[in-house]
Amino acid sequence: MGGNNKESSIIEIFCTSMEFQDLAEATGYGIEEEGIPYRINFEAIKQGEVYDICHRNGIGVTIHIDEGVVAVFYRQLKEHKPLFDYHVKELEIAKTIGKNAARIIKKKPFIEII
Amino acid sequence: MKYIAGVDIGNATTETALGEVEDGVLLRCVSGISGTTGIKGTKDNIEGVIQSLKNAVKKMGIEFEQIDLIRVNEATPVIGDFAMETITETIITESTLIGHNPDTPGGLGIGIGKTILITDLENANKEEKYIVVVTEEIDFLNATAIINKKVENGYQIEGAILKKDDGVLINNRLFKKIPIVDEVEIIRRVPLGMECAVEVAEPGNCIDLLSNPYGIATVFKLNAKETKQIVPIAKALIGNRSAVVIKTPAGEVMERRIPAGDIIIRNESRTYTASVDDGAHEIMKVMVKAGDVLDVIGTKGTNIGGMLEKVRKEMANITEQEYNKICIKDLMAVDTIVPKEVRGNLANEFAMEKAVGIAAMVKTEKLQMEKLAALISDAIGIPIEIGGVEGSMAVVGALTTPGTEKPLLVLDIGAGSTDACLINKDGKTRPVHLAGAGNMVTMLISAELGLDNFALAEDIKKYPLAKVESLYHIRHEDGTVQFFQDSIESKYFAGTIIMKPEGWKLIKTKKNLEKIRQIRKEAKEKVLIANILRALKKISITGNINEFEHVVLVGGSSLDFELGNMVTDTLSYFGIVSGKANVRSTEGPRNAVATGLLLSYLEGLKNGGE
Repeated sequence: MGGNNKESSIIEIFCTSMEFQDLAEATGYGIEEEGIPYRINFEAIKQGEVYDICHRNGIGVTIHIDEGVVAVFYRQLKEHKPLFDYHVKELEIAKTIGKNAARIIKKKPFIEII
Repeated sequence: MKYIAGVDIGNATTETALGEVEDGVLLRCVSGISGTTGIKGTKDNIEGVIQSLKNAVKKMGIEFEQIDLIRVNEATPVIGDFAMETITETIITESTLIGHNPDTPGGLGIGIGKTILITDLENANKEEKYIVVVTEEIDFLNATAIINKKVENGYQIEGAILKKDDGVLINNRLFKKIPIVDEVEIIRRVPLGMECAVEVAEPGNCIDLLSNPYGIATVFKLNAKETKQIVPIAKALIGNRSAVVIKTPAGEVMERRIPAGDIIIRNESRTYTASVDDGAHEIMKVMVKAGDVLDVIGTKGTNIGGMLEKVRKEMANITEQEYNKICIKDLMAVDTIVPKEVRGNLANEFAMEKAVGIAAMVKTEKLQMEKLAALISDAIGIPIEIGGVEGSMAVVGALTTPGTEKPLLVLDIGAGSTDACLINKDGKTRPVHLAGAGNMVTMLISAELGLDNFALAEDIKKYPLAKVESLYHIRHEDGTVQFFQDSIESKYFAGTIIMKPEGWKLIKTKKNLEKIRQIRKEAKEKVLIANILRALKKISITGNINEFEHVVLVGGSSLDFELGNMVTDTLSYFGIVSGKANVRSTEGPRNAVATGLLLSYLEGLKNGGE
């Protein structure tokens, strides 16, 4: 139980392939800059499952990275409606998405993603 | 059957009251409204007049050409315009500082050393202490690796200044923790090889050393004269979580002062002088002493002198009158605090400076309105006559409000001026025109919030605020919470929004809702409430506000969502009953002057007119 609690207080990033490791790391750096803990998991997992995990996760935010698409899930939102859902080509954008994911928890206005 | 239109050209809107008249009896009346085109009292108003008339004609179900007569307000002798600026002593100190509040600076504490580019660390000296400057080309992993390697090799790196938002990332990877200030926009302007101090406070705390003039003096070994010069820098850094101050070489520190200046007020018998430095309260005290003002000028070579001359020149151009014939008839001053850019800053930093906001009203000749009426008449081919004085017409219109009777005091709070008019039991009127109204409130909101956006400030003035607390709920400024079925757009998340009837508008500022609300309310109190009390005192024969019993508010600013209550609160203290008019039982506080122009035509018929 204690272990579960520890796990639930971080933002989980699920990356479906090592091919997108750069994206996952850049997203993580954005979260780190905002001062929130995170963990990158390399797992072939579907968006729906990542959405389910955000309900079990105390922090309520999870991120799914697949085929260059970074999607941020928040437990208050519906399954097919991630808060951010971008096909990312630049690592700086992934970093900004990470920052915004952390800002949900910090209740700070999001940075505009151009 | 005749169609008579009363048209009121205001600073913000042009309003029409179009009446169907038969044998001197008003059968039907409709209203029209349009935004005023150009500055009130000038030929640019024609388009707005036509639009407003078209709006009314459509409602009446007649053709434009069927209008028999248009009556416009006699906006003279005061054409009621204004120019407003914040006047303050300008202190320009050439020094270099970064005092911004990045969201996430890195590290903690104070670091003092010479500035050096991270790529120049190769040529660094082990005996010297350094503050490294990291430009955007170097990513945080490289920067961390370079700093760690240098520290391992015995170099003294005491702090860092970054262009990108990487302060926490670098700090988390450093072996030796140093204070790091990031998000420095103009990093290339950081002077290299100069003495520099970096300070980062703990989350929730403010810097202590660099916001204290003597702290800066200690760091840079300044003498008393130099310490005095860096006071604006220390002031600009108060309340920040992080800051950088860099000492520029001797000779680069320059100071230039543009004095705020004196206001010289002339009445029939003498002149009075008020110093802008003494603040708005003193200026207004002298204005009261001067009574009926003939003209106001500012001392030459000063801020106020320049501003008042600009008003005079603009009005001379607009009204095509001779420059030396333009007289400033009234002036309103209010104290304010405005953000002033600190010269030499590296991250677009501002310091809050005391300032005085001024609204000035210009007197022009009556001939001006006659010229305008002739121009409009030529343009639309309908006869035009000038009706009564604006204030008196507002009273006639306001008296159509159910529950009102003579004597009555009407306050017309427009965009540019505050007009008051008392009608006694015998129907005699006593109008006053004062500078300062809705637009001055907008200017103060814009200045104090540092918005540089008149439309946004206007929206802040007009509508209530709310805070988006989650993706499903907002908290209104009165504390009530509203939930939504569908999620709120992410761009609004955690932001302060304006509750406009046509949709929300986000206010992009770091100031919180409470602060914005406080600035909005204070601006209304400083301008509108103060001007209402000034008008009542001026119109009163005894100088005692208590002599009035009923005050009715008309004009665009009366539609403000909180002003009605603010006025009622203030005037109830003097035992005065006040409230918004409901012109013709249908128009609310709008259309009073236009309705007055129409009704005074009917009155004229009764008294043996046409």
